[in-house]
Amino acid sequence: MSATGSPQQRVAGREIPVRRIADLSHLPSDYSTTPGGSIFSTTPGGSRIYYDRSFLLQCRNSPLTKSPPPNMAKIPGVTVPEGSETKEKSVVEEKKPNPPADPDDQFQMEI
Amino acid sequence: MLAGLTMAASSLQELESIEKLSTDSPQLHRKAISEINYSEETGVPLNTPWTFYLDKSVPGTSAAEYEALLKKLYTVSTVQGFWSVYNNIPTIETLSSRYSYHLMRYERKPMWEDEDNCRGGNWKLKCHKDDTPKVWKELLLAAIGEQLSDCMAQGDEVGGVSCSVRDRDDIVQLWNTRADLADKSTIIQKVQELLPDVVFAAIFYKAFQTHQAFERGKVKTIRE
Repeated sequence: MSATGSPQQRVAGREIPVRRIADLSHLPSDYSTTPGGSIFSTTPGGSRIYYDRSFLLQCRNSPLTKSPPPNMAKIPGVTVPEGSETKEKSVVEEKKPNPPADPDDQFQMEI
Repeated sequence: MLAGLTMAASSLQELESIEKLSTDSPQLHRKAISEINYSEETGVPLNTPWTFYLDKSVPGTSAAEYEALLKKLYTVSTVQGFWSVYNNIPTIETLSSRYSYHLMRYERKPMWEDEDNCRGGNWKLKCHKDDTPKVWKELLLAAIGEQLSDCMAQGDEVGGVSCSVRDRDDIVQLWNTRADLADKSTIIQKVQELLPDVVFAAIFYKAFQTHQAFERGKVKTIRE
């Protein structure tokens, strides 16, 4: 805090600190206590947070992930079983064999 | 003692003024925050929240019609929250043709005209159906783990990833927020590094505003 110059000058060139997480033990214990108090690391003074693939996969079988979030949107055929609420064609299809590849197919974007 | 207090006060003010200056991260709607708070307090926080969407592509729809068909599934803010959605929705290979999943940063809509997307564009990668489940999962993990952010030029960011199921090959999309910086991104090399065994049949980038159907007038009005 003893640096000279206006706050703008001091803030301008600062890099976002980076913290890479490969294991839960690397997660700082004061993670959610950045000034301003949000859990997001984009708060001033917070660091961008990276997770590698293996850490993310380790979390996949946590008990918290066995059921959907209780307040997730209820969409028949997607987040809840197909019900009578909608007559719409199911989002999930019965598998058909793939159409044969056409070598002369021009790349057509269909979006 | 008095001097000490004054000093503390002035450095606090200083700190606050610094915070104000550097608060340029996007703001979340209150609704989003309350949803996030609900079930994800105990998980490992993501760098930013991400929102799962589902849509069905109907050719020739306007932005407003598309928006009405778009279904928001959930906004996740923790790693566990991400998996609790991913593990409990149909896998990509079981979706019918013309459906798409999107995972968008914050609550941005997967629409060209969204105010955070409208200056951006996306890379489209044509993906063989056998590869789609793996490609989709790896890109989701790379996105939420912020493994792609080092590939983007300063000022640009990955705003979302999408996977669209089509009759023959599927289409994977990587959204960025600054079309003018897309040339400087090394995201495609990164994707190939993450998926060394996958050969994409085609890869190209397109800025949203260069689409004929881009609705200039729609920008800004999308957010509630």
